[in-house]
Amino acid sequence: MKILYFASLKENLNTAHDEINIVSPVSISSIKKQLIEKYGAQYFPDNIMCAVNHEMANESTKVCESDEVAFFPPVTGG
Amino acid sequence: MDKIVVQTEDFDLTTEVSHTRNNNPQVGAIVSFIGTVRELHPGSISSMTLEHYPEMTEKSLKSIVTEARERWDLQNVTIIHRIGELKVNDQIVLVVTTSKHRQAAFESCHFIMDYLKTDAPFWKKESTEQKEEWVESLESDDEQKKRWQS
Repeated sequence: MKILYFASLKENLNTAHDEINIVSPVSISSIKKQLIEKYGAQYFPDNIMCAVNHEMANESTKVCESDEVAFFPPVTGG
Repeated sequence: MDKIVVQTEDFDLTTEVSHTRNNNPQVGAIVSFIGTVRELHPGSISSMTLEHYPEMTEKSLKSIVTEARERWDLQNVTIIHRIGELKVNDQIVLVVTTSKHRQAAFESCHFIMDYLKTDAPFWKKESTEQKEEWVESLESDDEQKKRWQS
């Protein structure tokens, strides 16, 4: 499954996207756990935000292989 | 018709208000908000870069406007948010709301900005001669949004 990163998270991980293996359906919290194992917990603090198919999601949101999942820091537009 | 745009170019308030108003005889109130790039400390910031999540941004702005329409009786709404490199005093964002009465126009404009601040995927990075730094989100922005949820 493809994972997208934005802003400071993208810079800190030094990549804009990732490929991970999942068994569908899976919750965002499991994906986050997998990414923490790969990169370290410091990159995925509690306030990290997540979107699924371009809509805000939360830890309990379930996703499958074809969904677009993105992680990013709290937004600062406006 | 609503206008929701993300663009690098600047915008002109008079043109956008006129476009939003659209000579609609139902419009009795127009409220606009412009957010601009400010200096955090004297001489501290030389430029700001706005990044966004292109596929999600307009969708999230549209859903904020849809939610505003569920709360207030609105005519046309405009949101323009700029991306790319901006300098101190540059305009960043414009929200124009139109309605029959002033309360709906005032409140919906405020609501849209409060939700945009916490829900729309834009990120600011400030650059000075010394360093580049991502802007941290403010807890006060979440508090402002919560006011509309009570």
